Amino acid sequence: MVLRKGKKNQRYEIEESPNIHLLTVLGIRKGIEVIIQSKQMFGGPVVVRAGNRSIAIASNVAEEIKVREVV
Amino acid sequence: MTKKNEKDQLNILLMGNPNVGKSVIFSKLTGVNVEISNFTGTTVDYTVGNINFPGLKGQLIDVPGTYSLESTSEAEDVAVKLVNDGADVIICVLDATHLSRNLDLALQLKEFGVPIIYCLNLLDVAERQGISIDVEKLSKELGAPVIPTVAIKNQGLRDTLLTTKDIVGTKVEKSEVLKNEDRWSKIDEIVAKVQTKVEKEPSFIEKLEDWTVQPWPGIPIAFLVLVISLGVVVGGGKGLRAGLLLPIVNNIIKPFLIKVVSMFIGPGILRNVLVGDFGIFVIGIEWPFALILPYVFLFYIVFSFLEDSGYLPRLGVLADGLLRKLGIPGSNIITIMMGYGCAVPAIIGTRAATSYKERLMVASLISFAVPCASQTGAFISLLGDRSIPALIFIYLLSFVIMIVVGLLMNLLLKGESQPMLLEVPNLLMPDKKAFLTKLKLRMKHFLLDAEGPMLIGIVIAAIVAETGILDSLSVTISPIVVSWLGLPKEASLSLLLGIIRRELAVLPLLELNLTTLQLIVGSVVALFYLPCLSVFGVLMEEFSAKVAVTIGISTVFLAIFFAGLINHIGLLFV
Ligand SMILES: Nc1nc2c(ncn2[C@@H]2O[C@H](COP(=O)(O)OP(=O)(O)OP(=O)(O)O)[C@@H](O)[C@H]2O)c(=O)[nH]1
Ligand SMILES: [Mg+2]
Repeated sequence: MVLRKGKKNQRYEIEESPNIHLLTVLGIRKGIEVIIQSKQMFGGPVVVRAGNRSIAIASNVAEEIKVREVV
Repeated sequence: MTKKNEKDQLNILLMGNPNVGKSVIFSKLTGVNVEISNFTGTTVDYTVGNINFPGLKGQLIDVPGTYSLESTSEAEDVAVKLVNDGADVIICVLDATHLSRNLDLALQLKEFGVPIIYCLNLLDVAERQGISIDVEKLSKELGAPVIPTVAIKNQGLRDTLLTTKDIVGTKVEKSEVLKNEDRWSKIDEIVAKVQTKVEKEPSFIEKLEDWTVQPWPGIPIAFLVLVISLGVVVGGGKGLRAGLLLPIVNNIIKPFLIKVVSMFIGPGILRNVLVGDFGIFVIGIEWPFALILPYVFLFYIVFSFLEDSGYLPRLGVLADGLLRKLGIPGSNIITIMMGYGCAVPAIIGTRAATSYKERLMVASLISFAVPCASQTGAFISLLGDRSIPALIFIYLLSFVIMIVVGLLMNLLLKGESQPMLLEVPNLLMPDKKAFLTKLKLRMKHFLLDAEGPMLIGIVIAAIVAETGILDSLSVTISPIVVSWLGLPKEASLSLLLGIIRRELAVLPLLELNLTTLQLIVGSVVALFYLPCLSVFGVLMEEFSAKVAVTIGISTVFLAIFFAGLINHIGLLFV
């Protein structure tokens, strides 16, 4: 499943993430766990919490991030 | 790599991730004021300042913040170049609230074999969030001194200098270059060893941090913030103007000037030109200080507060979906809001845009349809007492035109913007001292930049009016002013002066006894008319003469065309 389709407040593990430099240095990479903090209207970004930080990820990028639900 | 000898100036680099407090430290150590705000990418180019500390003299360079050194953005290129040019010491600033991300750059910097000292900054915020870091262990892991700091409170800065002094000239091994994956697992190990986090009940600020990135209640909060801001600027400005500045100007300064001038100059034309009802000194004081200054002042109070609080990027996140429909990523909302203060810094701020198209679009929107604080002051003076609906109409119209211009440019121009990838900063209570410094700097700028051209404009106005040049000018452009726009021919003065500054396109209308329709038409001309001379200059500098001239011509055309249209439609109803 892709991150963009994820549910708010749900925890996900990233299985595959596009090779965008800024994304990796912001800590969004394979094996990392994130929680979806919010989703925006009108196709706006998905905001995830990774560790201690909030990161806004454009929806078209979130479409390319493959994730697995973690319980 | 160039090595400097003892007598040479030391070359010290201040580096770190974006938004970790480098510029705060830089200002404190060098006394040089630089832009500081609570979002990434504030420093786009480097600044050099001097350090003068017993035993430590040299130049300190405020390097733009980067997440890594892989040369994938302009800021990273600048950073890489500065390191390669040779440094005697690197001061690397770490954000204690986001240690793991910060260690990426921290470790990469060790690959250069330059003595490094780490400042573990923002410890006050880390504490608030329940994070504690074992400084000694971290220092051992990094193999370099780590100084705990709270930069805005001056804590740890002296220690930083003392330690910097100690490590100058020490030999350090280049650490081996790790593959990304290896570095990341090393970082995880280090963080596990040095950092402990106690889960706390979320504080109010943390709840607010969460709410402000949710559509609900984030969007209502955004409206509340905008309404309060508007209330402070418009309401507060009116209060300041009527309650404080107008009385001071009218009862103290003007009578004083009139008395002084009258002592030297007898009654006659010259005295009238200087201190008559529309005299140079009278208008030259009343317009900028009583009518414009209160709004500019309050705008910068509100804007600087929002800027330092870390709220603005959240607004960018909320607005991204909508703004992208115009082809503009949401984070540009910060630049556009800046434009409501002054277009010049806003246009320079478009450097943070991710593509040329995006940059050009934002700069054009600001030039076309975003009235600056000075112009807002003028509009309020002109319309506020006559017709509030007219005032609201002008601002609504500016929104509509912004959308139309945005859609058109998005269709016409080629180019793609980067998708939004943004770290949302912590919400911080702005530091009082830093806030006041910034406010002072901005007001000084306004007074220097605005008062000169304003006086020149007023002098031109007086001369033009007294010598009859205005009459011949009026005859030449009267078909436009009188027939198309339906304004009295004296209004051509507005068109002339509006070239110099935006509010000067509005203020001359104050004296003309216009009908409400004429007021609206005049305001619409002023709204879309040429951005002022300084904007023209900055467009030339940041873009090209072609862009500046194109924007200049299209704004004049749009202004006159549109205002005339409103005049003729309006006449049908009057
Ligand atoms: N509470 C607190 N705030 C700080 C501290 N240091 C810096 N700040 C705030 O953090 C924000 C970022 O500071 P800057 O100095 O602009 O950061 P920078 O590293 O220069 O950022 P870029 O130029 O974007 O790379 C500002 O709002 C500062 O007031 C600190 O120790 N404690
Ligand atoms: Mg900076």
